[in-house]
Amino acid sequence: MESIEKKLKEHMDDSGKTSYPDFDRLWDSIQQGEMRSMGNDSRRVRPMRGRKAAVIVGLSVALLATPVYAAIAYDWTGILSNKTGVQSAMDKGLGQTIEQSVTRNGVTLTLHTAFTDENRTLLLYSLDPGQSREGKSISYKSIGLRDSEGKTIEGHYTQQWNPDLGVFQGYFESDWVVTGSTADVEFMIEDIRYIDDGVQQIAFDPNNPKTQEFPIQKDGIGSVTVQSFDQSEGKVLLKSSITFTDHELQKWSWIRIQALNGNNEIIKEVKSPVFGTPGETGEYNSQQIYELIQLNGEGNHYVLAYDREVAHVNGKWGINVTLSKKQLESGTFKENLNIPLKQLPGGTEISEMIVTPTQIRLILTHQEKFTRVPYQNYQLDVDGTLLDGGEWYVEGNTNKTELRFEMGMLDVNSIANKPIDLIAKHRVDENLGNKIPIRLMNISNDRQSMTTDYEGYPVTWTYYKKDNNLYVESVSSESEFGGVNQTYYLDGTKRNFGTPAIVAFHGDGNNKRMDLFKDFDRDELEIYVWMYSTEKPEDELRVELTKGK
Amino acid sequence: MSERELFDIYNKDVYRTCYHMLQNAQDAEDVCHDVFITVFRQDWRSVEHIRAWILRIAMNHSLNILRKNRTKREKQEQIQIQHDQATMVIKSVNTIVMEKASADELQEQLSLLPDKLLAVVTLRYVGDLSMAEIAETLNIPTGTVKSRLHKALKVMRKNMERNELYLVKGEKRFGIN
Repeated sequence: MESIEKKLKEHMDDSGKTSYPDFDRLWDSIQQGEMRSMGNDSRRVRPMRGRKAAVIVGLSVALLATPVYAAIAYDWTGILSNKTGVQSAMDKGLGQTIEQSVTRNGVTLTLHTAFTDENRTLLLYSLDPGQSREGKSISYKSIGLRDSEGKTIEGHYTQQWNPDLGVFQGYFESDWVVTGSTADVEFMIEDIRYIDDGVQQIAFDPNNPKTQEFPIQKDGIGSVTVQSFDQSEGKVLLKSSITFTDHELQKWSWIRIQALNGNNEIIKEVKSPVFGTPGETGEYNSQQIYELIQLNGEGNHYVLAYDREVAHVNGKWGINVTLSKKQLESGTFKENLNIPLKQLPGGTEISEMIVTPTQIRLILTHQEKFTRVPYQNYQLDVDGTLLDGGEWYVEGNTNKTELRFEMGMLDVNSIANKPIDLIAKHRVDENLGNKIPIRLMNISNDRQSMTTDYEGYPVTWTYYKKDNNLYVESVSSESEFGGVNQTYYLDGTKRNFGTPAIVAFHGDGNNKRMDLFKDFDRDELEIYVWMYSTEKPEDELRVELTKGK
Repeated sequence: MSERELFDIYNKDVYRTCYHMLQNAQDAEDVCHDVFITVFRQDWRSVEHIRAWILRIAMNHSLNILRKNRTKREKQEQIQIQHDQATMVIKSVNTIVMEKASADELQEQLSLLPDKLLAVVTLRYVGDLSMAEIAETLNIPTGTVKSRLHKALKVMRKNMERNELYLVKGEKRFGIN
């Protein structure tokens, strides 16, 4: 007994061997003060008592819709974890209470609360599938709002299964706003699809450099082709391309190659995978990067995993409601700032700040159209409280960019008196490439590499032919070099661009890129860089917006 | 002490406690996050035995999650057992001997313990709490803490010995009792 006790003590107390999470990141998220959701299982149900009662305003009831007298209040903290401003507005009783239900074919749709301000509309709904539920998730043929003229208002939705209540809880969000103070709309869903995992075995060999094709011809999937590309440091890139016999499936299914080890455990990608980028002929392309050594483990096998429909309930579920901006108008204000940002390109200034109970928005105006704001991360420092934000494009106006910050737990009424700073971090600039060619000699099926100096950065070019196509890879050991966005060669004065074969994102710490030139039959080529980016992860810009009172 | 300092001192203890209870890094991180939020929402500066208090919160959060996940977990365990049966047959005797009492095996044995026993073991060996502190944390008598700890060690030792018995029987005789 003593011996096992000793071993156990060593095992459990061995802090040196435990791999810990990134505590700095954890601390940042703790500071946001939001309780997390654990999978789908921790939806907390809070009693009505103790919550501020919301006011019911302007409600018109559809024939079928009936009021809901709920004994419990739904907890939305999980579903609203990235909409902290909405959560906080709800906690303050600023949502418009709807609580109307409609039941059809044993399925009940309930519209609980609406949030409408001068910038967006967000509705909280739940769906009780009754006995019809199958599989692990659902989607709809359509979900959204319809205005009084019958026009569809599009948006997006997110939902989670709440096992305690036996309902799917979700929100629908749209950029659509109520003009005037109220608007009559119908919230509706059409045709429910129950979804579960589908799996097909594929005999993929990660060591075969040739394109491998696997016919599936099942569940709406035509075939999958997979290519593997050696990457630096023992990594391998799997590029897959999927064709469909049912094109509807492509719109909602998530399809991916899964590598499984001998114990049937999923082998994880070493970098974030990218799924579903559309190909030239509408195919569904994905890229996944693995450690080659892990892919070569004994007993490894590969499957194509996807979402498939296991059941459906057809019909329309609609709830008529009069949405009102009244609740969220309290505390809303706009302030003209007109602060020029000389550090930014394109003649940029922060022109306006708009504060609502759910969001703070900054409107940036640019003298030059399509000016890109060169930072990756944005925060507002409201008298010591940090709010995370992001960049939004303004539809129909190419001279404007918006920065939006969720309000978190801050009280909108106190904002006007507080000092506010904008903090922008991690600068990434895009630069036009120069006119100096890079000469690729003796092009063949063998990989060849050379390193050149490009605008002061060492860039290694690797090129080879595969399946009659030319691949040109570029990578730099210098982390300040963000990557070559695209290469081209000249036919007279015409630029022939390569097709980027790696999906890359600014600031992802990976400057490797790969261009594909189709049906290539020469043995020499001069290529040029179209654009390249440079990164300054430590760069921080702080701008005082208001001094406070 | 600031909140950040408190976090820096106890984050590893809390994470290890949650990790050993939940056997899953992502869940452990999520619970660790919630534990500190719970702590900061209370008047933690006036708590006397702060380490034991924080670990108690961590344990309660973990047990809540385990309770909620029980059905899911039981299903997973069934699959795991079928899978173990399948893989044990293929593993050579040598491999199994090598693995004896390895970290993996201990971890596996821990995952087989009922929640009640696992809680006592975790608080004792991760949290290094005294019998009295564990008793207070789990709201059970000290005598029960002792008997659960004893039982946990006994169950683990017995299971590991049983694995050894399988080894000498030869490859064709593997199976699950």
